[in-house]
Amino acid sequence: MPNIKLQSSDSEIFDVDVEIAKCSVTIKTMLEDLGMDEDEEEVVPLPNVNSAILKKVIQWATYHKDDPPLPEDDENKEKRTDDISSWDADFLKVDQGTLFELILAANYLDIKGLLDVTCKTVANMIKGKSPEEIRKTFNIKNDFTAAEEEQVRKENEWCEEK
Amino acid sequence: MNVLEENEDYSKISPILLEQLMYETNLIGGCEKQELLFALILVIIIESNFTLLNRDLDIVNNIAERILSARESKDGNFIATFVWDKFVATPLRVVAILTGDVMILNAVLFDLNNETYSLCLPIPHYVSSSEPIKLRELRNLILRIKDGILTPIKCSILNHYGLSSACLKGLPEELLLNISLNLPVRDVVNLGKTCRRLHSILNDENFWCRLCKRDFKGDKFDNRSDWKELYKDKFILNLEESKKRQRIHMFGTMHEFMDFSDYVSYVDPGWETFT
Repeated sequence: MPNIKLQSSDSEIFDVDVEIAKCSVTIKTMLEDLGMDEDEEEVVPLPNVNSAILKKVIQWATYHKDDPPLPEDDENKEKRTDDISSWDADFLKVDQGTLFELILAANYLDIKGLLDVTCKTVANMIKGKSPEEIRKTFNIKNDFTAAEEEQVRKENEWCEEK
Repeated sequence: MNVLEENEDYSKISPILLEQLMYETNLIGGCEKQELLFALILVIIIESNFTLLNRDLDIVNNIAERILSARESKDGNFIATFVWDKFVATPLRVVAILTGDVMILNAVLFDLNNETYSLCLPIPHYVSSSEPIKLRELRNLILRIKDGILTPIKCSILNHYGLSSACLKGLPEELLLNISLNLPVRDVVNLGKTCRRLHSILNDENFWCRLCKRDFKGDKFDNRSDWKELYKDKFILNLEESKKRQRIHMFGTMHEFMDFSDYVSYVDPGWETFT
């Protein structure tokens, strides 16, 4: 298998199997558009991903390299969030900074499987929590005035649990 | 002094920094457990790309000096100042106050409205009290410091400079909506109640259009602009219908398990006289 070199924002170089790197649509398109020859010692710069995160992304892509392609997303289907595999769940037992950086990286690199599973993980952290509990979990500051808060509460009364 | 617990997961901290921690705590000599804990906290913060500064705001990476100056100071509190990455105009002050066996860790951004994040760390939980002194629960400590202090601090700094950041409210709009499409409507609404930015993002009509199509499958939708209102109407209607169904269902099951006289007496006990 030919390898390519990926360079993180902090200039670390990662030698990666081309097929694994291509799970990123961004890298795949780059290789095709630039007509990069796979035998060439070319380095693909990834200025939006630091080495710690790139290492994790490669780890994820390596484990999932033989996965069947994901079915086209059906927008109109309620997505399940309880179908995260145990390997992924373990892989994502990280601090929130890392989790959100993974989301940003998966989005930038266009890796649908990784973006899905990281977004679901965050969704699971939100589910069933009150607004105050969500604020606490994600360190969100309540910047509503008392009047605004009352207005927001009224506006959403219809779906309060009775 | 042996400060390494054999079964701990040290892979989270770079070996160079751990070595530095060992070296400097040895340098101090007779390191107390609160001093060791504070030194470890400094290592974790440095590991997250913060740079330690001295009193004159010059860059140093001398943990021992911070510990020793706490010994000299009157109140015995530990203080350290950091800058994150290239954001030198927004330094972070970390102050650890000791009350008994508890270390209260405050992290303050002086130049950003004194924004403060605090943690309460029971020292014996992280450093064993008996000789030889050992660290424990390292993974848990790292997570608490990162989630409770460093991540929100980084978000605040990035938000201050108008950059997107690696925290929930710092994510670009499109990703927040992507996450929210995984949520039942009640959670979407609760998320929108947390702060102004999330409220305005989650009020997007286009997003409610997607929720309508997701949750009311089979319904036909015209082109319209008030999707949230439509969702609300349909939601209330569905709720009422399902309540009705539940009531009918309840009577149905009662029919199956009771004879008629029981049924009548359940509906109105007064009817008993007729049966």
